[in-house]
Amino acid sequence: MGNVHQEIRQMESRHWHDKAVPALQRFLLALLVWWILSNDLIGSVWIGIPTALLVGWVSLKLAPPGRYRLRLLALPHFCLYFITVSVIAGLDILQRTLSPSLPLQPGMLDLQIDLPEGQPLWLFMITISLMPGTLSVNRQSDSSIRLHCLDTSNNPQDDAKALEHRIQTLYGLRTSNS
Amino acid sequence: MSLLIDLLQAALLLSGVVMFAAGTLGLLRFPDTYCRIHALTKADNLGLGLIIAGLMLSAGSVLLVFKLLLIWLLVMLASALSGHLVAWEGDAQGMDAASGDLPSSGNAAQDSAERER
Repeated sequence: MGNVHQEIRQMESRHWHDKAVPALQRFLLALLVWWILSNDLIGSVWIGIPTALLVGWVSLKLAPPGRYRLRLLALPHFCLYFITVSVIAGLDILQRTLSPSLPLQPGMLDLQIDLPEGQPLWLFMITISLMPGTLSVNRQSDSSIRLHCLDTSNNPQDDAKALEHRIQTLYGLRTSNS
Repeated sequence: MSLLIDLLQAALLLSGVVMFAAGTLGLLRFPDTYCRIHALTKADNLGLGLIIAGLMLSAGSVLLVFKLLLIWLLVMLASALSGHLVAWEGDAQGMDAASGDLPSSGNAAQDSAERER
C-alpha cells in the first residue's frame, strides 16, 4: 500500500515538475528578450515582469512543451556548423547568379528523414532551406520530406543526411556521438 | 588597431551589400519560382549576417550585440518559413520542379495548341 502511495506521489511530483520547468524557462526567456529590447531592466521592471509572465503563459498555451529537449552542450557546435553552411549557401548563390551560363539543374527530391514530429523536424525543415541548394517543400503522406534542389547533380541527399545526423545528435536521439 | 577594426567593418558591410545584390539579381535571373526562393532566402540570410557582424564591431555594449543577433535570428526564421510556405503552395498547385510551369487549366483548345508547339 505504502509503495503505491509513494509511486502516486512520485508521479504527481513529476507532473508538477513537468509543468513548472517549461513555464520558468519561457518566463526567463521572455524576460531576457525584454531586457535586450528595453536596454534597462531595472527601470522598466513594472512593465517587464508582467509582460514576461503574460508572454510565457501565452507561449505555453500556443506551443505546449514538446518531448524533445535540446542538448545545450551540443548547441555551439551546431551553431558553428549552421554558420558555415550559411556562408557556403550564400556564396553558392553568388557564384550561380553571376555566372553567365546560369548553371542550374533544378528538380525535386523525396527523402526519408528519421526525425520525430515536433521541434526536431521543424528545425530540420528550417535549416535545410538555408543550406546550399536545398529548400524544404512539404511532408509527403509516406512521412518522407520533399526538397527542391537547385542542382540535382550535386548529391543534395548527402547534405540532408548530414544535417539529419547533426539534429539527432543535438537532441540526443542517437546513442553514439560519432 | 582601430583602423584595422574600421577596415574589417567596412569589408563586412560591403560584402553584405554584395550578397543582397546577388540575391536580387538571382530573383531576376533565375527561371522559376522555386529557384528564385533559393536565391532570396540564402543570399539574404548571409547578407544580413554579414551586415549584422559588421555592426556588432561598433556596438559598444553587450546588450546591443544581443539585440542585433536577435534581429538576425528573427529575420532568418521569417525568411526560411515564408520561403517554405511559397514552395509548399507551388507544389500544392502542381508546379513543375524542372520548368516551373503550372499545369494547364483544362482549356482544351489551349492545351492542344501547347502540345503542338
